[in-house]
Amino acid sequence: MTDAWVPTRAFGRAILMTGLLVLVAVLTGRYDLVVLAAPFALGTALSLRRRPTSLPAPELSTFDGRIVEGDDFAVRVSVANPDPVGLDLILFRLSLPRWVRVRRGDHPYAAPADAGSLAEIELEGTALRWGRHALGPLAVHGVACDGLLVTLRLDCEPLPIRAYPMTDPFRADEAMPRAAGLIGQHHSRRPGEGGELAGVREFAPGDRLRRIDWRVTLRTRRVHVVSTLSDRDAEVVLLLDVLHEAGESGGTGGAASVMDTTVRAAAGIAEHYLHRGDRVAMLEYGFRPRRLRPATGRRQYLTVLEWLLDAKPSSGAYEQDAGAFGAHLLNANALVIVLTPLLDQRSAAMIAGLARSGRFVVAVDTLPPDLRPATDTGWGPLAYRLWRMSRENVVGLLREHGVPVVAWAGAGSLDQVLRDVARMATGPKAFLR
Amino acid sequence: MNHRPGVADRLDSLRRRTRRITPGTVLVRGGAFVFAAAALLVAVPAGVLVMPAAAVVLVAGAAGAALAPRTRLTTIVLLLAVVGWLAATTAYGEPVTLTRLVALSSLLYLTHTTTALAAVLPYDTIVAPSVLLRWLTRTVVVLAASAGFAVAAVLGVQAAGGRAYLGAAVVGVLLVAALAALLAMLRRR
Repeated sequence: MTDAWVPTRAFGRAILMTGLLVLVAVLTGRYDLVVLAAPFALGTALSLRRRPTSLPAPELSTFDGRIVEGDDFAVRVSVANPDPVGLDLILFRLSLPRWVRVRRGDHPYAAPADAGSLAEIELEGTALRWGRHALGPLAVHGVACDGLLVTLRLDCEPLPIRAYPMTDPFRADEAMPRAAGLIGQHHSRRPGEGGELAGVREFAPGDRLRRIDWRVTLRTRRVHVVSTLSDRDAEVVLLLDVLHEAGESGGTGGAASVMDTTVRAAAGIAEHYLHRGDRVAMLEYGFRPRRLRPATGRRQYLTVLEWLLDAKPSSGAYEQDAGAFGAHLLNANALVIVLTPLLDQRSAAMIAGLARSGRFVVAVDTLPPDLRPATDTGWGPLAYRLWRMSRENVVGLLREHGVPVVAWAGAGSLDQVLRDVARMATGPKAFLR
Repeated sequence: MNHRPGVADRLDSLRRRTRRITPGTVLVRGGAFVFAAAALLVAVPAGVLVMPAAAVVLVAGAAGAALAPRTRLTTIVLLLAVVGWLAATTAYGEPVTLTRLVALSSLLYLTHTTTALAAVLPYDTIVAPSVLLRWLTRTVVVLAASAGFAVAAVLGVQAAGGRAYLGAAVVGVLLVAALAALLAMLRRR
């Protein structure tokens, strides 16, 4: 017998009852005890007449390995019985991660498994929060011979489910502080090939013939051309402060923690700018900084979403190495949007340092507005008020450094500050490098 | 600091577990309870059954076998029924009738096989109806064969007259030999 099939207590009970009843029958000469023993002997013999030798083969699969948080997905649990002997049943139980809900998925299932057949069950689930989730493992037991034999626990590898963050709606109508390159949708202040009319001027060598304004040329009897402002793209760097997590995440439809707001806002902002043709880079400010190089287009958007799945709080007691994180990682003309809860002095210092190095920095406050620490001690409310005042002081200092700090409020929440930053970019600058 | 669950916590846990119980497992465990209680009822002498303590033992034993099918309680209940049967037919002088004998042998096997099924099904398992149907079919086959054997045994004993002792010994030895062969075969594989 295969070692993986083990006898159950019922097997021992059947043998015990048969042996004991027959023994007493032989000793006392009572035929009725033989009759009582008969079903146990007969049942055991019939059950064990054909016994399985192979083990069931479980498998977990889904057609929806990549979904957006809150979306439904289908999981197929299939257990094959490769043995020529049918099993009584296959018992399986699916372990669920915290942020995945599968309807009736927390129950074990008992399914029939005839010889050489496949037992399949389709379950419907929902990813309650963004991230990489591992559905499983799937624990399987085979039961054969009327419950006299069972397999030891068989495990199926967990099924990875990627739940991309639900993008918070974001819209920013304002121009970039410093557009670069020669493509994109931002109207720059430099003349060049573009769609925005800058004026009409006299023809000069190098002008394209198709730009000649014939109406003005005929009126003035001198060749004039239409001049336009060039369209430029811009680089946006989304800097995620992942030093700390705060607040309790309630998944989709529930409360949002700092990481929730950070990741969803980053996805929304990246989607917006990538849709407009800008280059978007990602950077993490944590114990081990991660970086995603700037690029444009839909592929970059998918890469950003994938990159965001691995965002997690990574705090360390030590200061980061200056070489590992600093202004040198950022393009001088890039708009840096820092998503930060401002819970750590190191975050404020980092933002101030970026502003001092001449970067256009906008800080987006991701701390949940309704965050309240546990105040069951007498000093709790006072400590909370002191902490709030200290944090407001930090925000004030950042504003003095020229860093606008705005609370994340979805669509249009950055318009005002982007307008201010764009205006500042046109003026003369004086900063320390 | 260790947090010991209080009565309220235990009740809450019990309430949550109760909500998760599925109809399939209720059917199986309910069947185990009914079969165990009926086996005791058929086996134990009528003189003992009238005592209040007997009713308590009967219900408690049957409930124990149904609620804890992975323990030795089922074996104890089965042995209790056999002891009750021996007491009824010896000390209390009740006759061994075919109906009662077939009923008891069937109920003992039903208790055994139903608790065997209950033992592999956690209380919150969603059971496919075909699983129960397949189990029932195989049990009915065993019970039919056993009933046939019981009828043959009773008729054989009646025909043999005073040589029942010899018949029981021969059949018993044959059964023991078959059992030993079965176990040996299992061990070889």
